[in-house]
Amino acid sequence: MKLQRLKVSEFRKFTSPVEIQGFAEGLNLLYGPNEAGKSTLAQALRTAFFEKHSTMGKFVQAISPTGQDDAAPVIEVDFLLGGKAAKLHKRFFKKRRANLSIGTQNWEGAEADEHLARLLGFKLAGSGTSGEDDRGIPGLLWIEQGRSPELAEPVGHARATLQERLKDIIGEVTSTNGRQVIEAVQQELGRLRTATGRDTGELRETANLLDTARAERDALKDKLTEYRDKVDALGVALEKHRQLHRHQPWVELDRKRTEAQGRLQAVQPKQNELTAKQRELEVLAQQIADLTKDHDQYQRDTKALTGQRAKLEDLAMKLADARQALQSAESDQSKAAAQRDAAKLVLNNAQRQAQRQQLVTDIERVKSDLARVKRVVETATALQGEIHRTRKDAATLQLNARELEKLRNVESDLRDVQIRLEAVATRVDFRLVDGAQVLAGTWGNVQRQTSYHATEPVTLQIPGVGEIDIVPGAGTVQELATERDRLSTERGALLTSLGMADLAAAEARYERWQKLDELITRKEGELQIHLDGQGLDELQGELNELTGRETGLNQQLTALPAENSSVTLEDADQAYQQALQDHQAAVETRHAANTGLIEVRTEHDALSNSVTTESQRLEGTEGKEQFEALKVKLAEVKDQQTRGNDSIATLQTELRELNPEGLQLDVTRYETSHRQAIVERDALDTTIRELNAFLKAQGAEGLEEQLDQAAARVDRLEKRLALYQQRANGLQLLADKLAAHQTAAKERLYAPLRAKLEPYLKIVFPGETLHVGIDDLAPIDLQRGEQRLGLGEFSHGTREQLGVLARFAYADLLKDAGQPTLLVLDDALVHTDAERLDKMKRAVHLAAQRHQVLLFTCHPDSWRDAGADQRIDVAALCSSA
Amino acid sequence: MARLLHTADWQIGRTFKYGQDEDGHDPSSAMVQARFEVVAGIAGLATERSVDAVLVAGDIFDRQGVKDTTLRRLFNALDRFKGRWVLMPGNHDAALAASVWTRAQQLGIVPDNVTLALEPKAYEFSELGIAVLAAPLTQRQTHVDLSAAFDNLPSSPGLLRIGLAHGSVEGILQEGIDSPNPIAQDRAARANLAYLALGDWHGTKQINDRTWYSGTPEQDRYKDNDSGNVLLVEIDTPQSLPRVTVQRVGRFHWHDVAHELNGTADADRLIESLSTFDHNTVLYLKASGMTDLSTATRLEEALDAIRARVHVLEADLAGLRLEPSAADLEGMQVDGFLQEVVGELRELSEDPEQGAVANEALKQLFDALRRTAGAAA
Repeated sequence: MKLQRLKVSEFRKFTSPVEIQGFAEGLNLLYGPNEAGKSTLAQALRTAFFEKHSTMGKFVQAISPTGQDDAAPVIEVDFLLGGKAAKLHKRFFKKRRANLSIGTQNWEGAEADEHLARLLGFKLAGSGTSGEDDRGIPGLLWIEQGRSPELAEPVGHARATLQERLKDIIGEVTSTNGRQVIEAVQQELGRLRTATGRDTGELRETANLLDTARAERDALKDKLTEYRDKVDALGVALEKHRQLHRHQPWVELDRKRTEAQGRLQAVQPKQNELTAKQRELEVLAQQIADLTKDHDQYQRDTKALTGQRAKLEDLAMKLADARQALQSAESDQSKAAAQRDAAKLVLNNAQRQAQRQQLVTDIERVKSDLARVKRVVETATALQGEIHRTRKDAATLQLNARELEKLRNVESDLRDVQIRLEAVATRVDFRLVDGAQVLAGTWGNVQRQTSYHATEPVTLQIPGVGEIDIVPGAGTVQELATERDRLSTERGALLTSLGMADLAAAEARYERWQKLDELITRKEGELQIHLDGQGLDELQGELNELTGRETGLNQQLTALPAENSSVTLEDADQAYQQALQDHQAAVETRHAANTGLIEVRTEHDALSNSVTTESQRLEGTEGKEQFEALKVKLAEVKDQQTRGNDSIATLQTELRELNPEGLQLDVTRYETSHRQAIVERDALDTTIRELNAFLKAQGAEGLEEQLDQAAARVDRLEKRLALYQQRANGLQLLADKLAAHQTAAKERLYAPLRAKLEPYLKIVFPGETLHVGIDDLAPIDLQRGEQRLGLGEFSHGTREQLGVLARFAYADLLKDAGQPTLLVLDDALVHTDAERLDKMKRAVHLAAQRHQVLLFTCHPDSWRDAGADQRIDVAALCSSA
Repeated sequence: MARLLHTADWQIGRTFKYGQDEDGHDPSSAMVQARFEVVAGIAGLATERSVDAVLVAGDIFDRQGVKDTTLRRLFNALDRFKGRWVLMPGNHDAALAASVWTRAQQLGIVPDNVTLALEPKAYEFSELGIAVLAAPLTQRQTHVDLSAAFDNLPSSPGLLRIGLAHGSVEGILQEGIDSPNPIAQDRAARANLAYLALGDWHGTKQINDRTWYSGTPEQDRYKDNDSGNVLLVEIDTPQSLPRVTVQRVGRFHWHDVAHELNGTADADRLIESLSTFDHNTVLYLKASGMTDLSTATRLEEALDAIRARVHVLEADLAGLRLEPSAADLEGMQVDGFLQEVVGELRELSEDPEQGAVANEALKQLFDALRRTAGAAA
């Protein structure tokens, strides 16, 4: 299909007609700024084809320039279709009409609308304006402004038509009833298996039932085994029972026990006799022991008495000796006392002598001390007087040392200042001829050769010449002069204060004062040495004390009588000490002797008493008699004992023969055995009873029958389960194969579309392996290299490009199928960057080789190198209208 | 002269594994019931023929653990013959310390005319002129010939010596022997027996002139040859040979049919052969081989009809492979990728491991096709 001419009038902003004549084959670029009317033209084209000429309603407002139906929008399209010239004329609203002519054929009105729709592959709207879902193939190929990324919806609306028109190229999309079969199979499979592959429905139920049935069967098996085991156990028990009752061992055991018991009883009396006899003998033995004890005791006592008597004699002799010792000790003691007293007297004498000598010595010493101290006191007093006088003299000479120091400094400073002043002062050297003189201010008349330092202005008056002012430099000189004056004044003040005429006088006075001060210090030192740390008062006190002491000692001496002793104090003392010791020893000896005597006497007296008592007891008449009787009794009892032992021996022999212990053991043994036999018998009876009861109860249940039924149930369920599993597996296999084949078929199916699309894509995505996923005739995803992305995941710009390229592919396919193709791209690539745009231009160029393309843009420059076959300036067109 | 009925292996208490159908038809219960009825039938026959005694050579009961009700029913079934019954324990109902016999005795349901031969001895019935030498099993299994005792077992002179034993005759019977209890082939001669009545083998079988297996009176499994009978035994004198007549008393016939199908005609033949079976048939059918779809459908329909006619039909069609014909495929509009799928599945159905699943998948596919075709129509 090729557009040749388009005329639009009274259509929206085109109040006056606009006509485009020069459409070329291939790429037509329609450019102009915004609001130039490009999109209006595109809309007019759409309106001409899609809208029934009779459309009214909202449509009026949409396209009428006035908004009212008083306009008469006209759109005329001249085009080539399948080689034939075609003309379309549509007028809307009041004077509506439609006229289509193709070649020699003609259609009017509604027929024209319909024929157009049939030709191009779209539908007319039922009522109102045409909707997107009516626009079919042209709706897909004529992209409205900004809608190039939308692909799925336009393809969806066009799908049926596409399929129909492309039938010969694409073939059947699917098997006639393939889809239904797949659904049916899925449904059947879903009844047995979930999507995740788990058993469900009948399959799972059967499996569960089988598990239950198996469990029941196994439980019954166990019960049956138990039953059979118990049957066997019963057989064994019954056999044991038979044997046991054949022999009846408890009877024999009972008999034996009774017999043993009897024999045992017969032995008892003899046993009792023996026991009694033994007890008797015990008593006798005790008696014998007691008697023997008494007998022996008597004999021992008698022997003891003899010993005591001997001892008593010994003690008497000892007593006499002790008395003697005491007497001699007493006499010694008296002697020692007398000696002691004598020595004492001698000692006293010697002591008094010594005392006297001591006193004399003391008095001498005190006297010497006294003299010494007196001397010291005198000297010290004299020194003190001297010092006092010197101090008085010094006081009159004293100068304020501080002021003196100040004066010294001032003098020094003044000298310094003077020197400096002279240094800086202006030196005026006079060298006058004889007889000449100059009156120089304060210097007075100056004659001959002199030098002066001018520290302040001075006027030289030279008679007959005039005056010369000498003004020394200000500043330093002045300062120094000032300083000098100041110092001078200060010196004067200080001198006044000190009361001196000048420094020298002050210094002299100071020196004299210093000398006196030194003297004082020296004298004070001397005094200190003399006093030797003590104060004068102290010394005075000491003097008094010593005097007093002398007096006292003298008194003491007078009181003491003169004695003469030949013995030294030491010797006398020594003799006295010895005498004391001797006396002490004598005392002790006497004391010991006394004690000894008392001891011996006590012992002697005690023993004497004891002997007396014992001899009475043992040697008296009564005592002797008792002893005899005792001896007789003892013999008797011993005799009894011997007889008793004999009879016991006899009894024991008899009993040994009878063996009662053995008999007791027998009784016990038979007793126990009998009891055990009874227990065993009863236990067996109980076992048999219990087994019978159990078997009776269980037998009635018909366990084997139940087991059979349970086993049969298991069997049936297993078979059923196998069937269902087989079915599920079969369905699964079938479903998998169907799905795989369907997919493969689709893949083959879309090959033509893919074949058309991929070259375009390669232009834009060069150098990558590309694979387009197609579903239901629309591209859905794109695999580049390893990555597969759904179309929606690409950027807006890329989606624009993909949308345009897809339309090229559809157009190519349609052309192969002999269908009319016209591509309209209205502002289709606004988000495309420069690099991609370049590539897209290549694609557009390629497409334009095969189809007529109308490309509307605001950027004609961008498309300058697109190889457009025609460039149409819309703005120019419209403005000229 | 003695006239006896020899029977054995009643297997009372035997259950069958055929479950209930959806419509409530329970084949097993009828088969269980038939076992009691055949006993009553034997009793009736005994009365009718005025026999002296009915000898039952073991396995009266199928197991020890039958319900009391079952016990009672059995003894009730003996009611129609008032003459002498001799019931001897076999291996299924051995005379253990606690057994069906002790239970029956405890319940007090053993009538006076019923002798329970629980001990290995000669039971003498002088009024009938016979001494029945019994070798009952007192354990579940023995490997000893219990009938050997007959050789030295005396009986009163003038009484016909009739042996009653349960086991397998040595050297004669091969497969499927119930118990290991051996019996010498020449026992009748060695023990000087006029007749030896055996039980354990479920088919009627003559061993020698004086030794017979009666077989079970009501068939209870597929593989027994010639069962469903009792033996009428007439003995004139101890020396004369016994006259043995086989009497059919059983109800159900068991058939085990295996068939390899090769094409439509084959299937038709099979269906034809199965149409002869009646309502007393217990039928097991194993069909294998190949059919196309239409034949498979026809076969299934035929089997449905048969199932309704016979007592029980067990059909094992697992080995039957579907091989759809061109006509099949055409009729079902198998085009496009469906065709490919069919092709793959057919190939796969020959694989030994996956064959069964692939076959099933094919069946399911055709089912689905039929359904969608039906829906479309």
